[in-house]
Amino acid sequence: MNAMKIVLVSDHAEDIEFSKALAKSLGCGLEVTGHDLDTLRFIACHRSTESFYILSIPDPEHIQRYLSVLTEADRNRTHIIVSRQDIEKADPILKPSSFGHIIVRSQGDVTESAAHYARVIQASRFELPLGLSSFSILEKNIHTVDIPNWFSKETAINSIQLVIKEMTRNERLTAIIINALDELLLNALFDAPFFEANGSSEDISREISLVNLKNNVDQYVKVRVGIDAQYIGIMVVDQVGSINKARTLNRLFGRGQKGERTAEMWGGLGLAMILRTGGSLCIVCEPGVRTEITVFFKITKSFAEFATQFQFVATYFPI
Amino acid sequence: MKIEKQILSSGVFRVELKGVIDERASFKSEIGPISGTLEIHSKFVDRINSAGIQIWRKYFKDLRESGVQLRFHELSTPLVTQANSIKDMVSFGEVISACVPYLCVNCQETWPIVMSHAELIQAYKGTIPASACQKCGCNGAFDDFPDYFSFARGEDISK
Repeated sequence: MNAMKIVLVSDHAEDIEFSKALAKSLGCGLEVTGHDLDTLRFIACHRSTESFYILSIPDPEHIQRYLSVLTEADRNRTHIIVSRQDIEKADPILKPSSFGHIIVRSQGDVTESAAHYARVIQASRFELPLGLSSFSILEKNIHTVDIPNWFSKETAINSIQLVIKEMTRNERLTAIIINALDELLLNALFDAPFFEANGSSEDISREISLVNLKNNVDQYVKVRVGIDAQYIGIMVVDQVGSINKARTLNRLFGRGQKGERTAEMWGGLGLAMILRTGGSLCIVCEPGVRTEITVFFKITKSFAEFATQFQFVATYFPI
Repeated sequence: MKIEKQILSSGVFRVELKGVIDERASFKSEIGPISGTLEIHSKFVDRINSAGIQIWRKYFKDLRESGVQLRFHELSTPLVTQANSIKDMVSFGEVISACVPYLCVNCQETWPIVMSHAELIQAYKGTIPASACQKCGCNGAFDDFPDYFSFARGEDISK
């Protein structure tokens, strides 16, 4: 048993089961408390740089209570656990960007999900987890492609598509994963938002290709594809480091109700598309230096299983 | 993306879209001037990214506002997925048919079947037809969730 400890604040049986499995994977202790008046005192008593908080927040009012007791450093070690419905409703719980990590409550294999998420917790112990190997993916399982310019994007996608197709043996899942890679590359290659012009479709295309290209021949965008057991991780790294935590999280979760969204609201929101199609995201940004975004997918036999897989969003920004 | 265009004997314009719709899509220049009715066949659209969605939505919205009648045929699964989340993907026109994904429970082969609008509505109500695997002959199962058919209602897809 190491010094690390998980503090779970939840009354939800599945959260408790998940946290027990997570603690077992990490070989650490677990403290469980419900949402009562002593919770804040409980958290304060268990404050430690080795503690990770998993909070199930039943309503937005609770957000303020926890914000009042958790320091910024604590919040970076806090993992909010929400239901899939909360994600779809773009629930106000998710809008505050004060917390860096969000776990979607899974109905799948809790032990397997916890083992996967343990890699994220372990990676979060680095000041900035950099590289797929931070997530315990062996170097020998990592496929690398460097993209020197915009015109290589399609070549890179086609190259990686072969690797993914071999793993999934399912055209639909391959297309979803490749689309996720495409979105990460768009984010890496261009400044968002892409669509501010009021011209025709052709004007929009031209604006993307000529104005918003932010890398040049000296600044390669790097792609790493790591395959580990049932999971695939795709990491795209740019050397700009321009993304903003609050804006990114608001784009992921603050987009209005399903059915009320329009394509205009979707501009530059490729990350949200990834989240909707089963992907999990790790976002690391060193301002002015680099941005690393990694998407994880579990490879399943069916789309139905794929779309409801265990999901999370983890962010790492220097304080 | 590849676009094949023809004018039917009825005077209706027909385009078939294939491949990937992304930031390079240029419907306007590739399709050219359109009047009357446009049939859009998209069974072979493999995927669409967020930039492609913007271009798709703007092009078809502009066409509709210029008085062109839009009919969407054989909407591919990736397009249906987006239409179920973004209300102005196909709401400018009439959905005639769409692809529905199936998975073989035995050999994991996947294939789409094309359903008419009436069949999509029936499926939305719970009647999803069987389809045999073309590879091993075993039963195939619809491989998505019931709300896959929501777009066909042409109503509030949040319900």
